[in-house]
Amino acid sequence: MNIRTYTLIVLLLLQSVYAKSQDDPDNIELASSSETFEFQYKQKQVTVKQLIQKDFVCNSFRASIPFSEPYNNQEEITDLTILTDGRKNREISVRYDYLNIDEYFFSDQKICYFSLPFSKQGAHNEVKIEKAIHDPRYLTTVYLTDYYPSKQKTITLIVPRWMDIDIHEFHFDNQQIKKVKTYDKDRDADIYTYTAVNMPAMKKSSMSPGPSWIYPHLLIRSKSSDYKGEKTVYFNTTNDLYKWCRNLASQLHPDTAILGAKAREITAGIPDKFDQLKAVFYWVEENIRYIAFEDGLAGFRPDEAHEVMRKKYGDCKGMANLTKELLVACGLDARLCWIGTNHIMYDHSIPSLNADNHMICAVKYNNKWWFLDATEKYMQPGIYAERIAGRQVMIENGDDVLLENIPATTAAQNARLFKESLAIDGTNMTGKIRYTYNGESKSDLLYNINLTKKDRLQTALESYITNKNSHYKISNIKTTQLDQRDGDLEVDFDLLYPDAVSSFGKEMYIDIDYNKEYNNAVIDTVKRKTDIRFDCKNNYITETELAIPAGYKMTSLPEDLHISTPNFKFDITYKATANKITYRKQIQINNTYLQKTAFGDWNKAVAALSKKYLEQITLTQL
Amino acid sequence: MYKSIVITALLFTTGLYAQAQSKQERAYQEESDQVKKEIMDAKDPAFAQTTVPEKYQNESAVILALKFSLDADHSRRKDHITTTLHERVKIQDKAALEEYSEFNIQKLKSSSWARGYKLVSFMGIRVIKPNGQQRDIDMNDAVSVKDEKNDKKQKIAIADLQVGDIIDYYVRINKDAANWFTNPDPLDYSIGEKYPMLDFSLDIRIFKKMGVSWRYLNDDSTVLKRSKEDEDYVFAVHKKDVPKITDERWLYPNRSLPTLRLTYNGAKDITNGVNEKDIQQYLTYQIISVGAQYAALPSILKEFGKVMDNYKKDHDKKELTNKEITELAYYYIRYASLYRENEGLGADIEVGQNRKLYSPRLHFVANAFRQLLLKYDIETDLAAAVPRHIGTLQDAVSLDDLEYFIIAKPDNVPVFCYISSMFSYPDELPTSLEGQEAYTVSVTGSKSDKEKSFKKIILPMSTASQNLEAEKLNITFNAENLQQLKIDRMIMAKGQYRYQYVDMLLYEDMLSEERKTVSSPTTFERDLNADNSNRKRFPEYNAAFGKARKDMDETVKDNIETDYSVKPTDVTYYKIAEQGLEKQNKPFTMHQSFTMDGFVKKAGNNYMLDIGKLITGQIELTKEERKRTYDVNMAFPRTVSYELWVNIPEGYTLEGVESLNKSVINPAGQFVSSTKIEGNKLVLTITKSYNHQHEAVGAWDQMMAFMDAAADFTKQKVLLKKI
Repeated sequence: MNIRTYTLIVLLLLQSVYAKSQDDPDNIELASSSETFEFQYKQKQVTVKQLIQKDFVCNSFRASIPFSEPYNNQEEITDLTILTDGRKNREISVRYDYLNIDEYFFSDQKICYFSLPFSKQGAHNEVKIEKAIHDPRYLTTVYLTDYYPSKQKTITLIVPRWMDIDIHEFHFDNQQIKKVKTYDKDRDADIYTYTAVNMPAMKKSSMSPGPSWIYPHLLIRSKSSDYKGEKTVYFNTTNDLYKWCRNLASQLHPDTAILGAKAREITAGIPDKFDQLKAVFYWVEENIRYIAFEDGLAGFRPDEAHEVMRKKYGDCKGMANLTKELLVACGLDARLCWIGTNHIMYDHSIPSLNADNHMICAVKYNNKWWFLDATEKYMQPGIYAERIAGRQVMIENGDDVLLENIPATTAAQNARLFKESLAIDGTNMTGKIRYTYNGESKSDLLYNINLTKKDRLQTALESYITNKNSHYKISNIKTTQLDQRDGDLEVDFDLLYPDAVSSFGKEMYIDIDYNKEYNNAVIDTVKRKTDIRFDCKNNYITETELAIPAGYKMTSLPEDLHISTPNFKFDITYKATANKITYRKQIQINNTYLQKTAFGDWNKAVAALSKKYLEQITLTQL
Repeated sequence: MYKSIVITALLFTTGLYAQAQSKQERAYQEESDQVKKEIMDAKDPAFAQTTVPEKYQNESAVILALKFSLDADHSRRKDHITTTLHERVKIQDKAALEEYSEFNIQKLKSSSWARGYKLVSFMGIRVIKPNGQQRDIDMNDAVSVKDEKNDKKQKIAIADLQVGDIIDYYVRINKDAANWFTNPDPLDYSIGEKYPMLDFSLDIRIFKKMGVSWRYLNDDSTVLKRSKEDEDYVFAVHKKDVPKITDERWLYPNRSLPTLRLTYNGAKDITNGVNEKDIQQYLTYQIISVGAQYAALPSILKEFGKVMDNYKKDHDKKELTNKEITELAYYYIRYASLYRENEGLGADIEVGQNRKLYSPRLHFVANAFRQLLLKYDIETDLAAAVPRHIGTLQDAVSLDDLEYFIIAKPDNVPVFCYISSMFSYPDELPTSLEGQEAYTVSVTGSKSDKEKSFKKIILPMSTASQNLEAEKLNITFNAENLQQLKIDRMIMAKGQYRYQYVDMLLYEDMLSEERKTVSSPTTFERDLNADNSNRKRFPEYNAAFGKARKDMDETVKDNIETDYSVKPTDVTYYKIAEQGLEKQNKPFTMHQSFTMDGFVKKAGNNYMLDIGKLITGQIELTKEERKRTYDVNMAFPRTVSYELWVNIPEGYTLEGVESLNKSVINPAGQFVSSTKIEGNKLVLTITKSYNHQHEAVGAWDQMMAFMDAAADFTKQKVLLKKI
């Protein structure tokens, strides 16, 4: 995964760990903040000198805040000065350490961190950092926002005329951002200055799209340089990006003998090529554990396929590589591909290291491209996780990149169908129920079940189904094979739900829907200021038939609910005959990206849905 | 500072750093190889086991063998403690695979200060496949997580580990520590894991000159084999087929599982427990020292006289009884050590939730009371007891196991003076000491008085009715939308229960109330400004107080959501009517008003109220929890009572009230709910209590009876029927 992208994630994670003064962003603010990037030519190489200057001020009461700056082999810290109230502070203990975040087993990313003390209201702390970026390709995104609110942020790019770059601007509308371009004759350089005023702090929220979707920033693309005749091409075209990534992959030397033997073992007795494809894919999903291991060259170099096989663990690059090599050993046209998940806003039309953060395997079979992502664990070929569905990929293709798109998916892929046949016995609800899972709903269930202790597996399945409610008693559970990836997953069980029916005098009140998805899932529009990204295109369908007990008739039935927007659909219908009540509910998310302008519609719909869930069906004794 | 980065960067690139490290690395590798040989070649039959008995086939994992050994030795200046954990586990599902596939190793940790120590760890891992094939993991596969001169941590992911494999690993830790300041870390080892164990052994060897105090608890005493081998005292336990521990709630391992406790007593002998004489000596002469050097103490002694004068004036009294003096002393020491802001320049201003966590040192408190009460001729004893979760008084193995506190005796009536937090009361014990046996000795009077006074007492226990949380709710249906409830809620908390509501108090308000309690003559602002270094801090405090007050609005909302599992639509009123900071004043009382959706269902023209949900969440036991193996140990006995007033809206009657009456009463506790109708109001009264802090496992059925009744009650509904 690309440094820049996950640097941001990493720092946002750090921010939540050191949450102390962050609860009150108004106390510590950036009086001014600036980043200056200057392209230089040193020792026959184009490098970038980065100067960071941040001036923090304490607005209300004394406090101390954590400060950190990441670095690695490509981006080194060459100078650091801390000025407290204008004087050099030699008492601050600066630490340099490995960066540890739970999601990454290991990362060669390092971090420089220390605590900044503010002795009173009005105190200042200025941090000046100088960094050397050894390859201009590693200069990608620069944000106009910060983790603290900033009164003013300036980004300056000093681009000598021998350097050809493109600056792409994102999310500048409705922001107070000024841009000025001047020419410096002494340096023979164009100077671009961006000034942003009164920017709010970037905050970590749950269900957030990646930062490139929501915060104003620049994407800097180094195209080429021509220094006194010395020409270098960076990322002028998408093919340049492809060639750079491919170069790292071509330094691999797979042990074809071992891989071939394994491939034969996995596909023994399977003549059909597509079945072989599935066998290999499922083997990698089942047997290789995912451990995120970012090591060397910004985490772009994949681990050797035979190594991943030996260790039985790997990250997305290692697993993609292993999948590819095993399939190649089967005689299939399998290739590596680079992809940016939906965490990233761009595609490869702007070639930059920021465009990709994931690697999967592509296979051409019967003239169609199949994309295999072994990190998903429980997906079958043709089913695509939301984070990669519809995204553009760069497929390994000799010297020239092949750009394709992973097929877009709809909510239909992830259908989860609950079919219930219920009856009433006294005040108990009994019944026979079948849950059918597919797509992402299936992989979600399997993932959770398989991570549970074996002696609690039955309990885990029960908990998953009953929402941990010990009153909702299920028994006689039968499932299709829990380790099978093809086809639907079905779970059949008998239900005994004591006292589910409320009985008062001659009336019986039925709460017909046990699983109330999105109940009260209102968005707090006062607190939440940024768009929402849902996990996946959920598609929950419940079809219930309730037999009306002898001696009773239906006397009140709630009205149907039909809410349909391009982003989502909530649909509930009730029907009754003399001896049966039919309830059908469908909750469907069509678009996982919910813009904040749509929060009002969402909240209105959820309020109506929640209110509908509260409506009972009345049965009256004859 | 930046200079060191540049140099480090250079060293990394020139390889000089690497060279300097290799000698250290080589020594480490040599020792690591020796350790591996010693442990893996030991030919222990338990560690050759590969099969799992049928009864455990369905377990997530089975520990085939586990051995914990400790070797303690010392030279003139240093103690050397070597601990080894050797475990052999059969992995039977993916969950266990996840657990055993990554390990962390603290390779090196050292500190060069006065209490200097050096800790080095070695690890070895072997994977055995179902077909018998063995493979040793190359520890060079480990990656660094921390790489500083005196702190090195690593992580390793195990290659080629699958369900069905056996993983056999050991961790050996060598700790060398300077021994003239402190003794080595004590050992508290409880036997039992979350997986079944086929073979367990414990082997402790301690050089006799170090001296050992030990106790073996909750097991047949013959299971512990003691002996003397060469110059070592040896403690050994060997068990076969140890079932897995499934009880998690209300379990005190030291009180229920076989536990070996030991410390190094430096007395060169071996004692079972602690010598009573040593305890007497410690309490009588070592804790209370005349003029104990605490910066805060002299000023407390000096100021108290004025505090008493102010108090007398404020309360129109000519004289104070000894009891009144004792209680005022309690509040004053509590105030001076925990409430006052005494910080130096530059320190953060903390007035939010963290500020309420301040707690004093036992030693300071004991000495402060002793010296202050001495001035007024009030006799004092010093008491010491072992906290409940550690053991009984007999289970102490060192003086460090004891918690001590002053018992004042104004006019011969005891008043406990234990201060654990800003909320402690005079004559109140912490829950960890209630009911425990304690040693007491007089620390006033002549030497022979003191010697004669040493004795044992039993500390009192609070009762379920003393630790009370009482809630009163007034519930109205919004006339325009009967599905929305308006709830006025009052919560009162007494006894040990009041500690649950500490997060609802604002330090600013606590401080101003306490200043009144101790009749402080000056204002907060003046006190701050009096100290030159703290000048000009008052505006900052105001700003910080304002933020804390704003944050409290969020806390109120969050706590309501936690209580009812539903977010309130709006919180319209919130007030702390009584902070409950002093015993003699009214108990903690809080008022809240808020509106809630989601508790009223619509049924044609009628409405159904989920009345059971209004008593907030009740414990719902899982299937596994219903089978209990060990005694129940809870913090304190308690009662929760609810009084709900439901206003029946005009045009409706209430049905289903009869089924709300329930009663489960037994020796362990109760759940009782009863109803009555008063005009157009339903009054629902509920009492739930846990009668004792400790219940033998045989009483679990009784506990489940009333806990189930409470959990069932949350499902209750009543019908609002349209007339």
